[in-house]
This record gives sequence, structure tokens and C-alpha cells, in this order.
Amino acid sequence: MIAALCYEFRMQVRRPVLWVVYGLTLAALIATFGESYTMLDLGRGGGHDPKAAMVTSATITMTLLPIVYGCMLADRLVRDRRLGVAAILDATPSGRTGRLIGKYLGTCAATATPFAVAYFGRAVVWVIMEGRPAALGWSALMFLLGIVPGLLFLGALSVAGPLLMPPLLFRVLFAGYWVWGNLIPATMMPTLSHTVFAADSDYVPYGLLRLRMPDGMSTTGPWPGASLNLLRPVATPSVALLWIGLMVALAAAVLSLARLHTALTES
Amino acid sequence: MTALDLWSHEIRGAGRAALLAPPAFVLATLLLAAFGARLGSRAGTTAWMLLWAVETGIPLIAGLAAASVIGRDRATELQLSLPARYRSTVLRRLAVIAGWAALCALALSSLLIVTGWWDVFAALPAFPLGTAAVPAGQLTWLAPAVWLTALGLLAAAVFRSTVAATTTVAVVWVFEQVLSGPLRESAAPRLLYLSATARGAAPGAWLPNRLGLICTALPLLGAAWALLGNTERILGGERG
Repeated sequence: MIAALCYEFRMQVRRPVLWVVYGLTLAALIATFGESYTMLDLGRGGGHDPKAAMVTSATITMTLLPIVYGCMLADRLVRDRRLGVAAILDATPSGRTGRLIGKYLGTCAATATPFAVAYFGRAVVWVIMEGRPAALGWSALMFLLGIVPGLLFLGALSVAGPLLMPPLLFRVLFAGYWVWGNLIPATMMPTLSHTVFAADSDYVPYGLLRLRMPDGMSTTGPWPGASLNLLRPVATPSVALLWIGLMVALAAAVLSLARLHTALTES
Repeated sequence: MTALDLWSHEIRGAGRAALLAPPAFVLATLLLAAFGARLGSRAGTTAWMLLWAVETGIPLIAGLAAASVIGRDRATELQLSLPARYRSTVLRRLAVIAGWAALCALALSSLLIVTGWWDVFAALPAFPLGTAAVPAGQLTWLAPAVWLTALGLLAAAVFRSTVAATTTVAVVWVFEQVLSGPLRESAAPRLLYLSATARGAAPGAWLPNRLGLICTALPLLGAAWALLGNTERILGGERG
């Protein structure tokens, strides 16, 4: 498992296109958000407060970069079969489950590396400009608790999804899912966005990190007039922990299904 | 090899996903139209979602399929050494993919016209076209489909990697959906905004937007054509 993890990590992190596509997307993001990105203020206040600034940075980064993350992961598992190395790897003493977990963790870590570089790079720039190193701690906390669980779930979805359908179809559905299930306002149509099942969620900053949202701008908790409000509890530390647990559990469930699928189709 | 053999080979080469995705999408959209009311969606909301599906769904599929068109062949080295140019093969395959997607989009919009949904679109406050403009209304899907297809092919030619090219198309698509407000308000991006029909456009801005999309797609295709002429470059790309 560890060998698969290291190998997959190195193989993915050295792909030039990974860095190029992340770079282009980040450039487009900065160009569009403009002042919101340079000031780290989305109108929720606190561009000079380290905690609020790091949360805003995470919110902006999480709008588009997960698309790159998901699409870049979508060919990793099926690639072994297409290149004909899956049968050779099966002949090695390593177990299939260990290899799947190693591959999952290795490729996810590698694909999240440019993501982390972009996020922590912004944090370092903020610290140099504002001279308050506390932001580095907040950014690490926000990344680990608020971003990584979502990425774990999205990673499992992207690694396993193309087993069931061609990667092309998966990318169409993934782009649609990202807009529908994470970004649109909850009142637009019945959606999973802003629920505890959304990978891009505000439960950690506003529940666990105790950040205060200005009145009338809250994105967590029930939305007036939206359906599925049952899945949108008010942000508290326990709900934030529930969200983290749900993301990890969903990732584990998706990977178990993928393992079952390989066992059924390859034996 | 007759022309029929050649084209049937390209249809097979286009891949199952590129051939199945557009009709599957059309079917899903029609199901939404048929059962929208039963799901509790108001007629206006269903009509808006259908319009959004026509304008963004098929173009996304066409763009992603175009981005996957290079690097599918086994023994590319052999193909590149033949007198027939590889870029002609790629363009033929692109024609199959884009033509099929266009046929499906045309069928979908015709069905929506016949079933009267198009009239419900026209009653939407944001709809920039009258009912009389049904032929021009086909630009609703045609312009974004042409633009995203051109972008997909160019990205595939530049990156020589299916993953990177499809990611680029997906990012641009999501980007346009998420940041529709700022994009529609500024002068230059407004010309290249992909869902000017469903998200609404200023009076008189819709047609320039559609023509702007088609006109800017041509240089993208030209650049892709030029890049695809360099066979050595294609050979150095990432497989799959």
C-alpha cells in the first residue's frame, strides 16, 4: 500500500499538465474575483482578520479548483486497465485493497498538492502583507478541517466514478454535479448545495471555528423557501464534526463499492 | 477504402461515450419536461431548466468529446507516418462528434417547439427572443456548442493530453455558470458569455453575443489546425 501510494504520488505530481491546468484556472479565478481575492473580503467583513481572511480565501479557492482536482483524478484507476498493467499488478504479492487505497491516497495527495500550494501561497502572501503570522495557523486548520474532508470525498468519487461509465461521461456529470450540488443557491432548485452532504460547505468555519457571519448573509442553516432544509442544520461544532464524518464515511463507502466492482469484474 | 468505410470507421473511432451521451441527455431532458409538474416544479421553472439544458448541456458534451478526440488511436506512430494527414482524420472524427451532437440538439429543440415549451420560454422575463425568431433561436445551442468544441480541440492540441483538455473545457463551463453576473456586466466577456439565452441578455446584446461566439471559435479552430499539422509534437503527447 505504501509503495503504491508513493509511486502514484510521484507519477501524478510530476505531470506538467496538472500544474499548467491548475495555474490557468487560478489565473482565471484571480482575474475574475479581482479585489475580493487581493483583499480577501467577500463583503462578509474581516479582510484584515486572519481567521476570516483565510476562510474567504478557502471559499474563493473552493469554487473552481475542485473541478480540476476531480477531472484530473478521473483517469487514474481505469488507466491501469487500459494500459494492460492491472493484470501484471494483480500478479504481484500486494493485495488489491491495499493497492486501491494506496492509489487513492497517493493520487489524491498529489492532485491536491497544487491546490495546497495555491491556498498556502495566498496565506503566506497575506502574512507578509499584514504581518500577522496567526493566519498560517488558521489556514492550516481550515485546510485540514474545512477542505481536506471534501477533497477526500470528491477524490473517491473521481477515482471510482469512471469504473461505471466512460471518463468522458463522468466529467460531464462531475461538472454538472459541482454546479448543482455545491455552488448554486439552495432556493434555485432542489439541490444538495449548502447541506451537510455538500463537499464545499461552510459548516467548519462557522460551526467549529466559531466565525461570525454578518446578519442576513448566512449560508449555513435552513434557507427560507428551499426544499431539503432538513439537511441544512444550523452550524454548530457538532454539525461541523458530523459533516467531516459524513465526508469520510461517503469516501469510504464509494471506495468499498469500487473494490466490490473490481472484485466482480476482474476475478 | 470507400468514403462510406472511412466514415463508418470514424463513427466507431469516435467512441461509445461521445455517441451515447447526447441522446441520453436529450432523453433525460425530455423526462424532466414530461414529469416536471409531477415532481412539484412550476411550469416557469421547468421551462427555464429546459432552456438551460438546451443551451448548456449539449455544448458541454460536444466540448468534452472534442477535447478527447486526440490520442485515442492505438499505434498513432503508424498513422502519423501515412500519407493521409492525421489532422484530416481528427477533423473527420470531430465532424462526426459535433454533427451527432448538433442533430440531437436540433431534435431536442424541435420537440420542445412542437410540444409548446418554446412558447413558455418566450414568456420568461429573461428570454431575449420572441416566438417569431424560432430559426434564429437555434443559435441558442449552436453558438456555445461551436465555441466549446473549438476550445476543446484547441486545448487537446495544445496540451496533447485528454485529461488536461477535458478539464479545461469543464472549468470554463463551470466558470461561466458560476460567475454569470460579472461576466454579463463587463463589455468584452459579455460577447463570449455562453448562456446568454437562459441567464438573460440586454436587449440587442443577444445576437452580437451569439455571432461573437461563432466568430471567435474560428481562430481557435485555426490555431488547433495549425498545431495538429506538427506530427512530431502530437507523438510527444501524453497517452489517454
